[in-house]
Amino acid sequence: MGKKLTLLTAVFALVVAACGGGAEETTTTTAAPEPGETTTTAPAPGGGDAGAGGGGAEQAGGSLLDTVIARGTLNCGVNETLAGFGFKDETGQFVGFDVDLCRAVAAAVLGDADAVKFEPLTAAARFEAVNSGLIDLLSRNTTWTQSRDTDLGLDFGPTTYYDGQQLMAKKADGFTADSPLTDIAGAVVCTNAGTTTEKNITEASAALGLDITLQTFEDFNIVMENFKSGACDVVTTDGSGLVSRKATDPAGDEWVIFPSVPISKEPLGPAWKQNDSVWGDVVRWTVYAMIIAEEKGITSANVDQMVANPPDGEAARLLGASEDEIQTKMGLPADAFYQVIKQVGNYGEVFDRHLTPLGLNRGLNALWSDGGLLYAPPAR
Amino acid sequence: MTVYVAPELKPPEPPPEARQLGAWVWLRKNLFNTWYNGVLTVVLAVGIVWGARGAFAFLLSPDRLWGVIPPNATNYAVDVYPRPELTRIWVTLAVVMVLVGLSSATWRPTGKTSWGTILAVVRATGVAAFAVGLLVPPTFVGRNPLLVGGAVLVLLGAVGIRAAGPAAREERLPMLGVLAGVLVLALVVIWLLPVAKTTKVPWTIEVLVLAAAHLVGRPLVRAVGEKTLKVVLSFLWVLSLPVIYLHLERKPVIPWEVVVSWLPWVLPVLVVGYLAILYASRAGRERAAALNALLVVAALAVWFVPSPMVVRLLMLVLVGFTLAAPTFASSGNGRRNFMVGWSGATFFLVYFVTLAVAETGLETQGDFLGGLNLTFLLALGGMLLSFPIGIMMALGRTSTMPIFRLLSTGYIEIVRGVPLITVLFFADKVVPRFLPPGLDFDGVVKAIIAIALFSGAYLAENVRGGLQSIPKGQYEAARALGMTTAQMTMLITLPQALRAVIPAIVGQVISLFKDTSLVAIIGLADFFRVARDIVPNQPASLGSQIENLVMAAVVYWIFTFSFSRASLRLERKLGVGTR
Repeated sequence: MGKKLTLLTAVFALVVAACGGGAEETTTTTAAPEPGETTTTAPAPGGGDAGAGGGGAEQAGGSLLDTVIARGTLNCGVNETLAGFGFKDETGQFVGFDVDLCRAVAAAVLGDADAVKFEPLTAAARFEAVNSGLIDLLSRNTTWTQSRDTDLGLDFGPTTYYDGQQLMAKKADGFTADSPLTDIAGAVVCTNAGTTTEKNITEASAALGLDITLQTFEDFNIVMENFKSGACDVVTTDGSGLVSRKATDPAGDEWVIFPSVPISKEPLGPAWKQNDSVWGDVVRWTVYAMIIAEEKGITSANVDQMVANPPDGEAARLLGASEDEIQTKMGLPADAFYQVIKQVGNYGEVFDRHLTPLGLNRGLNALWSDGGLLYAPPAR
Repeated sequence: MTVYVAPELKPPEPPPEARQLGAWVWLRKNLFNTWYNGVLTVVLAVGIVWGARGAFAFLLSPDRLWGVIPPNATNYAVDVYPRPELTRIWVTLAVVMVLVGLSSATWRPTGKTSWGTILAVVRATGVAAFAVGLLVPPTFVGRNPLLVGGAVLVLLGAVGIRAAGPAAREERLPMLGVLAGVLVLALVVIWLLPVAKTTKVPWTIEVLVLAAAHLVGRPLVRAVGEKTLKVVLSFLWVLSLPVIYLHLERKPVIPWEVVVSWLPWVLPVLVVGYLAILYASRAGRERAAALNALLVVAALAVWFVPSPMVVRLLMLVLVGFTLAAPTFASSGNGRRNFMVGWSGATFFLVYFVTLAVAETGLETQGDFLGGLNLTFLLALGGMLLSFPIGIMMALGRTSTMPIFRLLSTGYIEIVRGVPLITVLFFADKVVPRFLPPGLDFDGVVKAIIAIALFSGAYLAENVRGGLQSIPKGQYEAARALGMTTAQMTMLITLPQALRAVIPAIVGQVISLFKDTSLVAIIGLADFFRVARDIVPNQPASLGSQIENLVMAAVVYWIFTFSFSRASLRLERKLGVGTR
């Protein structure tokens, strides 16, 4: 009996060892260089910024930038169910305002706006996807909040779309565009469950002491069906969502969006794993380059002429047309932002392509010179 | 003693005339035979008309965006599959058509029908169309075509039945011919409607492929023999699933230099395998056992030598073959089967490992499986895998060996006690945390495994029900004949048990097909998710979710209804419930 047991243990040990050996072999032959493996040689967080002083590309070992360049594609987390910002068109392609930011970053880093692998994510799965390394960049109508920036381990880029929660009701019920929030007292207010919109309306109405009936549904499409059938008096979500519904629905003219000052601030922008300033600089300056290009009237149509005859020194540097360009010091090709404008377009072009058809106007998202909030630091 | 013998047989009496009831008599007899039945009929009729009018008014209202559905047809079918590579999907469909054509020639559905039945279907369609025409809102443009078309069909059917007379009731038309006629009719309709060329040309080719395969199949059955062809086709059907999804649709870029580097390992193992099988089947049990011991050691040893993974797996397969050889390959015939089996196993192992290491050559922006394509993969893959699991668990649960019984019972009760969503979520999010870092499976693979494990537990209970329905006397008779447990199970009990539970298994398959829509929880874009989330959120399709859901319901119904019809035919053929 004892002898048999030893034999059994020996065989078992052999099998376990064999399996272990097999696993080892597969990992060494197939695994791509893990980002985590090289971080040991990386400079302390923030050291990447010092790279602006020269030789930043070499020091930047361990940044997502190197991972993305080595991989040859950008893994980008997007929405696939938000008209205008991230959705799949009739040919199965990902398109939208947020999707174009992914394409812009890929154009800057890899020179090809199509070198993106899109990862459609639900609102619940998106932060885990960033932290697990599944995606390099999250561009999925994500609001920049204190808890996400600190507690969840993300870093946020410049806000690409200033949104805010509003409400929509029927004109026939006596609502106007100037109605104050207090007018919803006693109404059935509907929104989609599990998002911050639910929390915002609860907090806002509680602060005013309003007595409302809040109904939540899983999906905003269902919310809209209930609004149209009269089961909901008022619906609430981000202003951009309400405007697009109002603009595309045949009955939209009978609805009205209020209050004129939204009940919440929703700055939407790109996010990535925190403590990676090299990667952060790349994303940040890609957005800034698109804004500066709009300021200077550089579009995808005229960018080639602009490179040949730059209007000023800043444009020449940004497009890589002069010797003192700064892109190579960031670890990017000199023509990185030229590729962004050429392949994707400036901020205004992207906005006009995806959001204007939905009835959204620039509003807060106009350039600072036009009275909006878009303000990019100078490229010098 | 006198014997009375009838001088001749009496001619049989003619069957009684079927009494044709007039419509008025039928109504009185069936709907208004008592005063309360009369009231019930009126109330129900008013209710049905009211409900149907409401439904049609809603579905056909000009506010409904039915226009968003046709342009998204490709999205529903394949989601993000790269459009320049769509030919691969059509080739996939053609492969299925070839298999369907060959199978229809081999299994030859024997059903027959009569002109009377077909004309009655035409007449009933006409009545339905006319009724719908009456119920739709008067503003609907299709109202007059429905009324006129319905009336024409009713007339056609009624006149046809009258003209054919009693001959209309003879069951002479082969069902297969009728189905072919319906297909041709569908093609004609497609060509008459304003459908894009990129849709109607491929579909025409697919139908032609189907017809050609059927016509080729007939002489093939005579040449090869029905039994062989049935075995080969069943094998091809099972094999077609991995080949289609791993090769045809995935477009692998095969790393030939890697595959060639395996050859110096694979070829010797192949030859050693032939010799070993030959030796093990001839040399007697003791020497075969010695050889097997050697081979087991060798199979374990290759794991420690730097060698390709394919050889390590191949050695394990070889051990399986040589272990079974002394028992099953002692005759010349058995030996030949083993040689063929070993060659085939080597080929497919190398083939599938090659596919596994190959990268996809598709220019995708993400996962390339989606839409109905993914729904079918999940349903078929889950179903095929759940069968062995279900049967093994059912046998385990009815086994007399306590460990197997305990394990199977535990498995079945645990899995049946949790919702499928939980199993899917667990497979996607929790299992990877148990696995060694870096080792994770594709979401689709995880979903198939989760669905198969889930469905297997239900199937096991269905099969157990079948096993219990077999009289105890049959077990005892099998024992008395000296059958082993394996023989008894494979030859006596299992075939009867499976036949008895066909209705339950079909119910399970239908529910599995619909349950695949739950994979949306782990981020896969199956048909239902495309219809519910993706299309209704395109800017041009905002507010069209109800339209999409109705469309999805109709598509699911068409498939599940076809399943249940097909299973009814199968039941009739196998005589379930009649013997």
